[in-house]
Parts: sequence; structure tokens; C-alpha cells
Amino acid sequence: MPRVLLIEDHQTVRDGLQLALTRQGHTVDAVATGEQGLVRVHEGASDVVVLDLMLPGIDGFEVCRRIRALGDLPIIMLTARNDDMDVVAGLEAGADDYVVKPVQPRVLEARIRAVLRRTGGETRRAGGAPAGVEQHGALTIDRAALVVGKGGMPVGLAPTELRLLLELSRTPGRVLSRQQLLEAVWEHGYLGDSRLVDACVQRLRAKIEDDSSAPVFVQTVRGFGYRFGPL
Amino acid sequence: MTGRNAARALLAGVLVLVAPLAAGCGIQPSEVITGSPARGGPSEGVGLYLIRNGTLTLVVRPAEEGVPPAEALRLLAAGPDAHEQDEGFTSEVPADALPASGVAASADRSRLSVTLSGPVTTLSATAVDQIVCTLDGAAVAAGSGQRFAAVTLSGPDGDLKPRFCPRY
Amino acid sequence: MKRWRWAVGRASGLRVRLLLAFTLLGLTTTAVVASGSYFQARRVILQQAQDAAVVSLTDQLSKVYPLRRLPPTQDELDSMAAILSDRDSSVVLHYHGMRTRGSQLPEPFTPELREVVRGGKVAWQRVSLKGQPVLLIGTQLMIDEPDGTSRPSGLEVYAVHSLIPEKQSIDQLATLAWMTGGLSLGLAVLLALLAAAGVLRPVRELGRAAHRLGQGDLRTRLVVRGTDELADVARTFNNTAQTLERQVGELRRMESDARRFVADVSHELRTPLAAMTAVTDVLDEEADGLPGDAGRAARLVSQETQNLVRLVDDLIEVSRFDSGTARLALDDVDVAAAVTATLRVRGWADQVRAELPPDVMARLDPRRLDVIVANLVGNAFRHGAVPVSLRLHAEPDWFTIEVTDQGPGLEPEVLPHVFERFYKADTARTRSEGSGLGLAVAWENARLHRYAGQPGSLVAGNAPAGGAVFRLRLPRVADPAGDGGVR
Repeated sequence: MPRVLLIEDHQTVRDGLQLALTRQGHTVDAVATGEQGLVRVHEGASDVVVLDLMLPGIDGFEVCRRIRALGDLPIIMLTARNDDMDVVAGLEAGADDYVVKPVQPRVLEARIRAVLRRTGGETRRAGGAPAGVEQHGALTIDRAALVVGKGGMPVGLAPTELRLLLELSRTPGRVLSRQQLLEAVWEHGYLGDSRLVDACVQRLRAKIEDDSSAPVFVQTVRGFGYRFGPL
Repeated sequence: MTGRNAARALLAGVLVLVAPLAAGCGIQPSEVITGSPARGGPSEGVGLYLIRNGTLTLVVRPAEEGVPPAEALRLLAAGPDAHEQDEGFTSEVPADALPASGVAASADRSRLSVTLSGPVTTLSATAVDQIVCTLDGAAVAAGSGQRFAAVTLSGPDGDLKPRFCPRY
Repeated sequence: MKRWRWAVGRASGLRVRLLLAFTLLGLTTTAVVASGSYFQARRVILQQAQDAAVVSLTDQLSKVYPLRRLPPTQDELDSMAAILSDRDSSVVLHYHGMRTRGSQLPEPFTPELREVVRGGKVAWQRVSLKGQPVLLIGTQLMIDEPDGTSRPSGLEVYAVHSLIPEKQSIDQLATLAWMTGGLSLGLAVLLALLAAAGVLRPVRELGRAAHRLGQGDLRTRLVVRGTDELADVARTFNNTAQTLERQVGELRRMESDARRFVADVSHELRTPLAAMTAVTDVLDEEADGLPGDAGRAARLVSQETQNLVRLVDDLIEVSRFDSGTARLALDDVDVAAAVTATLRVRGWADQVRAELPPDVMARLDPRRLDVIVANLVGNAFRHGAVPVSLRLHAEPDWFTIEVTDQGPGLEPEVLPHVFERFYKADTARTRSEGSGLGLAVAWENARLHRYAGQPGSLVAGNAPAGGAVFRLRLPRVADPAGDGGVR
């Protein structure tokens, strides 16, 4: 049973979401501040974080950055304002996905399931068809162990970043559009926010490319999308 | 439309100003300008009045100083000389209109009288004028008469009323 | 004709009018002064020349006295003429029918002149003889008597005196007058230009400032120089601009306050709505289990919560357009696929006859395209009648999507207002499902896509066969709306 850490300062919203998510079978741990949330994250009792950006004290962006610094825990931003700056800043801070308040519990539930699928066993099943270790130049991708290395050193990737890299590298040289990537990685049924892809590609490049302004592994094809290589 | 009117007014103004300048340049013909009375000078001779083209006209014949009026009448009665006849002068004074007496003048020289040997009542008006004017002129030249004196002609057939020379 | 009008407009311009006035003034003054002095000088010159000629002739006359014979012989007449003639004038004598012989001169003596001369007066007259000005002088020789009186001799003396030297002097005067006139005319034009420049500079500045003000630069002010009428105008202009700036600023502040208020209210509504939305699913699921009225009430609350969410979403969207903070998130999409997805997700795929040619790729904001298409099709279902048809048509740089319904179409008086906020075409109809902002939001979304300086468009009309037609036109490659790119 997935354990959801809900960080939301408004009590009614917190109660409502807790109620809805609990009814859908999640174990919901609801806290009101970023500080309390970070304590829960340290305790390691959560599978996914649903994080409101507008928080008293440490704000959502900072909380997001700190969680990301600790590890791969998936984060779904809850933004009251469908504000472009907030969305972009949140994605840059390391969020995996975002939903806009007011959100239908069904939608939030679907996102939570999607982001959870990217981690652990589900990713292993989805992306690990050809077992074994692939070598792409300096980059080593172990689809079975879900480990990525570069020049012999392991590279720590967040679940969404890893899933994106696996999706792209499965067909090297083939261009995948943002919509295709949104559907494959984020499981957004249609017309998702392509900024999710762009932000994730930026984070991925920062980790695996020598020079992220002149990418080798994840290349942009203007007017179409992204492709892996060719090296 | 204002512009066109203004332009027209301007053109008219310029024309009004320039036209007299252009037209009035140089020397323009003028009307007759009348000055002082004509100047005169002396004449040496005797003046007689003859007829030319039907009008009384002064002729001067060379003569010595001081021709008496009676002598002038005698010359008049003799008629135009050859030169005067060539120039178209005639006379209506008959040859017998000679002075029978001297020319008498009143004390103030405003009246002259003379008696002719011939008849005077039969003289034509032109002839009378010839005699009166010649006599008057000669009297003035001689210093015995006044200009435009009243002249009384007498003859065997009677007297004429005093007459003035009609023109100068 | 247009050119002529333009020329007239220019000709009646301030500069030209000033120029003309100055020139006319200069010309008038010059003409009056120059012609006045010219005429005066000419009169003096001519009078002096005439008087001198007359005096000279009358002085000469004593040479022919005393008169010895009248009528004179032809020889005497000729010799008298010879005596009286000199370098400047030739003399002709008349004595009744007689006339000096051998004179080459024609007979220039006018009857009027002869009339006066016969009357015993000296007389003269200027005439033009063979194109040259001459002075005719006439007098009669009088015979003086011892008593001081004189009588006319009938001898008329006529002198023809050339005026060519005087003509030359006068012509020189005229040349001088013309030159003076020309010079002062040039000076007048120069002064006029200077004066016009002096007057026109502030006028031009005023014009430029007024233009800037008209362009919306309300901070435009003029530098006030001096205390003349133009300075008054400049001061008035400044006061007007200041008042205008203050009032426009006030209006803008009030308007932005109002907009911010709407935005703030919308945002504030989100939190309670978020809580309510979170539990609508619970209400929906439990409604069936609730008895009678309670179940109906639960469903109603759930339904209206969703409507309220949509209204607040649209309000926030609209306030973002108003504040100019709406941004495009461009992506490359297959338009047919995107439209198909929009229809499929809303469960309309079977009810809409869609003509969607494949491979129409476009770079646009997919979310906004979805909003527009969903609004147009949803509107067609609400207000029109089935079948609703949707047709995609591609051009080189643009593509169009036409949504047509089979309803009664739009009333002519409705057409100009369909994209207005909260405009309800049919007031008799009960409050429709839409938020009342759907078409307004769609219209703003269309205009947000720009290409080559031209915004996308959304227009409403009626099909010839009846039914409303909404025609969306978007660029194939929308300009990326950078920071503040779209306002």
C-alpha cells in the first residue's frame, strides 16, 4: 500500500485530500508545514510526496530541493496558482509532476500511481525487457539493475529522470516527441505540459552530459522533440 | 480654396503695384503745356492789313523810321505789291480811299479820325477793318494813337460810326 | 487632384503665408518708395529740360528781330530757321501758308499746340517721334510797339527738341529703381524666412509634442520660452498633458485595482474549492446510498462545485490575459491528433463529424488549442443542434478549424457580442452550463498565437444553409512569446 506524505498548510484542503486519498487505498500522512514534512521524509516512511508550494516557513520550492538532495523520493507539486513561473521553478527544483488546485482526487490518484510506477519494481518491469548492460560511449545503462554509470562512476538519477533516459535510450537515434514522452514516462493521457519533459531533460543533462549546453546523449531535434544519440 | 483666393489676391496686388512701374517707364507724351505770352521784338517797317484767304492779315513792308499814319493809308490804298500778290494777298480797299486830311487824334489818344477822299459808306466791312487796323497800328507806331483806339472814318458821302480794329 | 490639394495645403501653410505677407509688404514698400522717387525725379528732370529748352529758344528769338518784311520771302524764312536751329533742336517757321523749306522733319505739330501758339502763348508738348521722345516748342513772333504793347506777327516758330539725353538719365533711374526693388525683395524674403523659422520652431515643437501625446506618451512636456502667445499655448499644453496624465494614471490604477481584485478573489476561491473538490468524489460515491433529498442535495453540491471550479479557472485565465501575463508554452503537435484527443477525452468523438487531414504539423500551445476546440464544440452542442461538424484546413503558414452546427444560427444583433464576457445570447434561456467566459477565453487564446506580427483569430458567422460557424485561424509556427512578448 503506497504511503503518501501530504504537505499542505490549509486544513480543509489537507483534510479533504486526506479523506479522498485514504478512500482510494493510500496511507496518508498529512502535515501542515515544510519543516514537519522534512522530518517525515527523514524518517523514510513515505513512497511519494504531494507538496503544496505555498507554505509558511520553508516554502515548497525549498522543501522540494531538500527532499531531492536526500534521494529519489518522487514529488508531485500541488500549486494553487497555475502560474507559469511557479510551475517552471518547481520543476527546476526537482519535482516529478505537478497538479493544479483544485484537483480532482481521481486525477491526483492517477498521477501518484504513474509516478510510483517509475520507481522500483514497476520501472524494472516496464523498461527492463532486454536484460543486461548497455554501453553508450562513456555511459553505462543497466536496465536490469536500473543503474546508470558514467566513466565507471554511478550516476544518481531520480525515478523520472531514469525512466526518461531508459525510454530515450531504448531506441537510440529515434526522435520522440514531447507528447510521446509525456505519455510514456508521465502517463499523461493527452496534451500534458511539455515543460515537464523539458525540465526533466535539463536535469538529466546536468547529470550525464559533460557539457549540458552541448549535449551528446540527449539531443534536441528542433521542431520534433528529443532523441538519444547518435553518439 | 482659401489658398487659391489668397494666391489670386497676391497676384492682383503685385500687378497693381508693378503695372504702373512697367507702363510708366521712360518719357510719356504729354498734353500741350501753355507758358507765358510769346515774346516780341521791334519791327522796322510799316504794317498794313491785307486779306489772305478771307482773313485780315498783317504784312510789313520795309520802311524808314516813322511812317505817318496817313502815309500808311496811302500804301494800303495802293494795294498789295508783287511779292504779296505772289503769296496770295489781296485788298478790298479801293484805290480812291486816300486820306484827304491828316489823321486827327483826341487828346487822350483814344480816338482817331480821318477823312478819306473817296466815299466811305460804300466800303465793304472788310475794307473798313483793313483801314481801321492799319490806321490804328500806324498811329501806335508813330506814337500818336493808342492801341484799340476808336476810329472814325469820314468821306464826302458822310461819316461812319467809330470802329475798333477787330483782331490782333 | 490630390497632388493639387496637397500643394494648396502647403501653399496655405503658415510658413508660406508668412513668406507671402513679408514679401508683399517688402514689395509694396519698395514699389511705393522706388516708384515715388522715380516719378518725382523724372518730373524734375523733364521739367528742367523743358524749361531750359523753352528759355533757350525764346532767347534765340531776339536774333531774328527786327522784322523787316511780312510776308517774308522763302529765303528769309529759311534763314530765320537756320539762325534759330542749334545742336539740340531744329526749328521750323510757319507764316500762314508758308513753311520753312528743306526740313526733313515730318509735321509733328499737333493742332492743339498750333492753336495755343496762334493765341499768342508759348507752348510746348512732349510727343513720341519715330519712337523717340521729343519736345515740341512753339511760339509766335510778336511785334512790339513803342507803347509797350505788341501784336502778333503771324510768324510761328516751332522747335523740335530731342529728349534722348533725358530719356537715358530716366532709364538709368528706372534701372536703379528696379535693382533697389529686387534687392529689397530678396531682403524681405530672407527676413520672412528668418521670422517664419522663429515662429514655426515652437509651432513645430508643439506639433511634435501633440503627436507624441496622441501616441500615448503622456509624459510629454514642452519647454516654455518667453512670455508670448506661443509660450501661453505651450503652458496650456503642459497643463493639459499633466491633467491627462494624472487622470489616465488614475484610471489605469483603478482598472488594474479592479483586475487585481478579480484575480485575488479567484485565487482566494481556489483554496475552499480545492477542499470541496477533494471530497466531491466522496459525495458522488455516497449519494446513491443516501436517502431521497440528501442524495439529490449531495449530487447537486458535487455538480455545482465542478461548475464553480470551471468558472474560477476561466476567471483566472481571463485575468491573466488582462494583466498580460499569459504565456505560450509552445510544442510541436499534429493538429489532427490534438483535435482528436480533445474530442475523445470529452467523449465527443462519435458525435462530431470531423474532417481532419493528416500531417498538419503546427508549433503552438497544445493546452490552449484544446481549450479553444473544447469551447467551440461544447458551445455548438449547447446552443446549436447536431450534427456538429469540424473541418481542419491547412494553408502554408496558417491553418483553420471550422466548427459548424445545424442550429438556427446566430442572430445578427448577437454576432458582434458572442465573444464578450458573460454574454448570453438567449436571455430567455436558463443559465447555461458554460461559465459565460468560454468563448471569450477561446478568443483570447486564439489571439495569443502570433505570426509575423499578425495575431490568430476567431470569428463567428452563419453558414449559408443556416447554423452557426466559428472559424479559428492559427499560425502553423507561432512566434515564441518571450517575456512580455504578448500584451
